Amino acid sequence: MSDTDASDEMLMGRFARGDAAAFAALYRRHELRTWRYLERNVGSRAAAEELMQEVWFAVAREAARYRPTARFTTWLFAIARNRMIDAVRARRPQVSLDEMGHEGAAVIGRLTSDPGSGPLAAAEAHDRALALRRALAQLPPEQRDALLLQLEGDLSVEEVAAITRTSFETVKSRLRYARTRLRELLSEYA
Amino acid sequence: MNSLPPPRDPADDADEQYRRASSLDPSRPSEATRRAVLSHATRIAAGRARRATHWPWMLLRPAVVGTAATAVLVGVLVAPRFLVPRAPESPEPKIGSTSLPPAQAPAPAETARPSAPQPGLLRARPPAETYRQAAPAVRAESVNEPRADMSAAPGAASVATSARAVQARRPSAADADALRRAAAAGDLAALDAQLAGSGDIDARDEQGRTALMLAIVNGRADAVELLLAHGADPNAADAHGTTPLQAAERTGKPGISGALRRHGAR
Repeated sequence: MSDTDASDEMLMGRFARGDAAAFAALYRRHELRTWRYLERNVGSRAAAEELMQEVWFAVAREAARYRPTARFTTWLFAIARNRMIDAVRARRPQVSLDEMGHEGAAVIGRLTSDPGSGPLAAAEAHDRALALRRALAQLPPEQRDALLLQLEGDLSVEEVAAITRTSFETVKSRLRYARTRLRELLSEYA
Repeated sequence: MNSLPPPRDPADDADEQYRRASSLDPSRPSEATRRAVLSHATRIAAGRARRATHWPWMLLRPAVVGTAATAVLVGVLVAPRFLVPRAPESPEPKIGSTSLPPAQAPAPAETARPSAPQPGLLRARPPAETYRQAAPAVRAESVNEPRADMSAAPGAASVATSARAVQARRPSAADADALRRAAAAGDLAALDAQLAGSGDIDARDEQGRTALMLAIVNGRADAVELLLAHGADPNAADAHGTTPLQAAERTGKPGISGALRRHGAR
């Protein structure tokens, strides 16, 4: 079975036995989702880079203890969330989302300067991505966290409730408010 | 007929808008982060692969170490009992090929003692064997050589020979002293412990007294029995020529005299 076909749990099992390629496949599969969850929550590229390393270092370190009783993504996003909370508690200097907006705009500008996509398309992508970041930044942290866990982690309400250690109803409520507000904010842009 | 699509769920609408905007966000972790993560994982994987290769040894190691430790412990505790300093080979043929007249041969007294320790018993108790193995040479000399002069000075000859034997075969003066002290005190536990060692059971003090003699003069009947059972020489006289039987008769304890006689004392 190729790395592409193998389930997350199988890849973790192979990595726990010393297969580095299995970890690389796992990382490629979940890199972007983890990144977006972290970056959109902390609002700083630098902090997200640091957290990204910490999270995946922890995944590699703890792989031998991982038991596929829960989905890998549930375990992964639980680690990501815990690391993020630790970082916030440690009061690491973080750039506000507004600042990040400028920083992010520069990054997006660099990354979207694909000559094939044309300047107009690049500008539109930049604007929409920035609008999403700003919309997310306006959500209360609990709502944003729950929404990102569900949308980026592809987690169910029950899984989000388990990770955030809150009740099912609370999570459901947070998700409902978050979606309503997000729709409003993104509609303004549209 | 209703051809209108079902009303769109606001939640789906929000998710759709999120995904559309998200897909346009080109933000990615840096290449440095990716490299750091993957190289970290590679190092960990290499360590795990190494451990997986060596797992049989990892599992067996405690067993191997435990077995080796047990073997060493057994060797230290048990081996000394069997590593007995054997008497020189030369005295043995001396006994068999002796040119002494048959009347002076020690055989009747040594080999035909009615209550001498049974070979089976001695084998069952290595300490006794230990002491018996050291004893024949002493007895061979103390019985054979002095008998040549026995008509002239029965006691003195035995003492002189025994003194030479003491010089030649005492494995440890401290052990011999401890053995004599235990015999004199009638301390059976200590005596038993000393008998378990590799010392000469008939080792003598400055006055030529063996442990048996000291047990006798102190009236320690149990110690006398124990020493005789372990092969103590019942005829080993002291430097004054006093034999164990004579000493026992002075104590006025018939039990000790009887034990000595049963073991061939004259």
